[in-house]
Amino acid sequence: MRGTKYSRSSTTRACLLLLATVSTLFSINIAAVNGAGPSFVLSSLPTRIQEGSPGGIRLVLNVTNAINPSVYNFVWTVTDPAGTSRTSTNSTTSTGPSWFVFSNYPAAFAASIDLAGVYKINVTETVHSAGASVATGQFQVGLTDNASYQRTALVLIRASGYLPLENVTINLAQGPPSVPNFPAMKKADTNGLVTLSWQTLIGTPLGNYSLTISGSTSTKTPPDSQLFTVYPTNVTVSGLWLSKGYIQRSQTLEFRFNATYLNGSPALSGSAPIRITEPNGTNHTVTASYDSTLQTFRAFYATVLSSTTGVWIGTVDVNSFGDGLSNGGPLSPVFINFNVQPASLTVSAVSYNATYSSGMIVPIYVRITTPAATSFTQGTVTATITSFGQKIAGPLSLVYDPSRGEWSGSYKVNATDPSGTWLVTISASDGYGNTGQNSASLSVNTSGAQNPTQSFISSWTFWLLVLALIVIGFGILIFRTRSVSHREVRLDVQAIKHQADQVKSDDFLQSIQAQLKRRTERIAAEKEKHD
Amino acid sequence: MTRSIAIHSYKGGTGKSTITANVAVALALKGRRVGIMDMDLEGPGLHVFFNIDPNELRFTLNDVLAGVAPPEAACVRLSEKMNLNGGEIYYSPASVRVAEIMRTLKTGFELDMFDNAVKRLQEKFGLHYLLIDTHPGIEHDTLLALGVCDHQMLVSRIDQQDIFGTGVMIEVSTTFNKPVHLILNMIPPRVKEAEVLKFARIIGAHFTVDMAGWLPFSEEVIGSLSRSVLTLKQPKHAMTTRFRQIAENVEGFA
Repeated sequence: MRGTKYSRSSTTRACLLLLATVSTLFSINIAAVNGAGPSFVLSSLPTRIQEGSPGGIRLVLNVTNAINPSVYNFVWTVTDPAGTSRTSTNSTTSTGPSWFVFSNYPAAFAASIDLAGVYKINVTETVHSAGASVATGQFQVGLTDNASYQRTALVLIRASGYLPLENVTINLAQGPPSVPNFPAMKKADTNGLVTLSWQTLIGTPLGNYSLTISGSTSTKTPPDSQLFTVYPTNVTVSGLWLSKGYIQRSQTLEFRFNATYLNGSPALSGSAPIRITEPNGTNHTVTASYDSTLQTFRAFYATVLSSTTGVWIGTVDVNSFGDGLSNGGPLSPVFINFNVQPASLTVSAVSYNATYSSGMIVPIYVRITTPAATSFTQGTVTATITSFGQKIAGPLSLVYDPSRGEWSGSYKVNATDPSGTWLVTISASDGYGNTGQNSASLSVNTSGAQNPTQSFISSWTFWLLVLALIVIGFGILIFRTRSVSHREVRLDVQAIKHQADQVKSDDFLQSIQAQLKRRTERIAAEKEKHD
Repeated sequence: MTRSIAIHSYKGGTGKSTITANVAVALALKGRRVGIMDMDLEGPGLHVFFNIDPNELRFTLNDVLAGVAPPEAACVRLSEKMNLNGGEIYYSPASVRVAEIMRTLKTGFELDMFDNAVKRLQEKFGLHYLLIDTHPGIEHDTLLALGVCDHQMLVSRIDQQDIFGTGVMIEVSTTFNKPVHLILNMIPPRVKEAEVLKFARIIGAHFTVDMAGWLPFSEEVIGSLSRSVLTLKQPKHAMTTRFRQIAENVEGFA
């Protein structure tokens, strides 16, 4: 609001100019101040009003440094957009150095607010200022309830001063063309009041709109006319969701979120980059776009076998979302954490149906897949052959055969190798700590000696011993049926603590602890904020 | 203030759900407002105790964790059905539909989603206690639930494997800085109480755990096939007295 300043002291003029400038910047009210004598500050509440609004505008004059006690006589003059001035007077006796005096437009002026535009206010004081102006100001009367709107907002139109039941034409245009459904014909009510609303949409063209209203019979001077502006609407991004809170390297993570306009309706178009931050700070970006089937925004991020393990963060940054219609958001970043763990490689079991004998080749073919079910093609894969704990061969390096999609190797059975059941254990690993293992058994019959352990197991002596042990076991069971107690339950504290330490040191538990720690911190922060 | 208690075990079949149902009823019969969440998402079973068909429910806990239903919508008020005088039980069943179980296990759930569900139930129903029946073992989602609760109650049999695993669970649970309580269950009939207590003292000497109670092996409990809550059906049964004693101990949780 523009203001005018009156000063009786030339020495304070510069300061008053500065004050008036500040007043202009932060208030639409007008200031009239006097460094030595009384100071007057005029304001209007509200500063903008619609035509024909009940209640009108409250004019407030704040008087400071007043002569006390003394009578003050104020003349308020309001000049409407047609140039017509109306006055209202009021007197007050000051009861202190600082006080307020009020007036109301149009009630105290026998006027109306039927014209759109700027209304200028001038206040003079006749007792102490000899009728000089002590404060000026202005207020605005418009046809809409606001001067600017975000898309999706409802524009309320109101005009007064028409003849009862008069046909009124309302036109809304952006540039020359009228907005769809305009011009609109409306009949004024019995008080000459016309109201209409216009719903802006998420795709309503942005910019300035010109609103004009005219009666079929009556003529207003100036005619009802006003500009207002439509801005993009904010989009809220909520509920960033992850398909899993923890994944193994190579797996793909799915992000989802919903976007909502200011009026609560969901965004059904557009996209947003999701910034994915590794524990070491490296950023990756995937773009989430709208999935009309799931009715949500989705993006996928595929980790690789070399991805950093630990806690990662997915973030939708401020104003990164765009719906393709110039609406955007969010106003604050939205993020979610997830944990990436080493991949557990799946090693297919080798199937051996034949019995191998001396000189035969034992083929070793294994298919190794990542948690994402893709082939593991680079790394170290070895096979170790044992028989009852005794190593026969290995580790034998296997090589990747792209034509088969498998890792392959072989072992030629020697005449000196023991007969019996062999175990082929395949171990896969890479330089990033991803591992996998599996084993398979096969029968071998060579001229070599049977494995001592196996030989023993296959002997009659062994089975007789087993039978004897079973008999003894039953005997003990019969004679000691009462002995099921804690004495038989061994509490191996060392083993338990060792096992627990392994669990505790696992990324898996640490990720849980990290999540719980963040939760605790958040609760503490919320409590502190609440307190 | 609501106390949330996760009832957990290292192995399955330890009687966790039986204890959850009976302690909840014992607390409700004392006039308490008790919530029960069936977080055994892989093998839910609490609904059998309460004679509820989850297929008839519009929403289950799986929907809550997936963010498609508010927690109170997946909650069944059992007080009238069970004729509880004074107290209340609000039960959140898990889905028994295989597809939904698989979906939940595949996608997991967010800590916040679970945390918010717990808070919402606490506030919505003014709960004194929220008992959470978990899936046995050391799994991600289960440990998250353990970490969120105020207390952890571990159930174990006196069995070599079970005791070993329970020891590991106690050690792991203490990293969450939450009080851990132990219930020894299905104690063989010929084992005397003095021996059980001695064993409990041995455990207590090596691990940071508080003994919340012990329960003998009961033909009646097994014979009921988990189709009813003994505490309600046979109020004068010796096992009922023991469940009540555990409920008393729960009331004493700091």
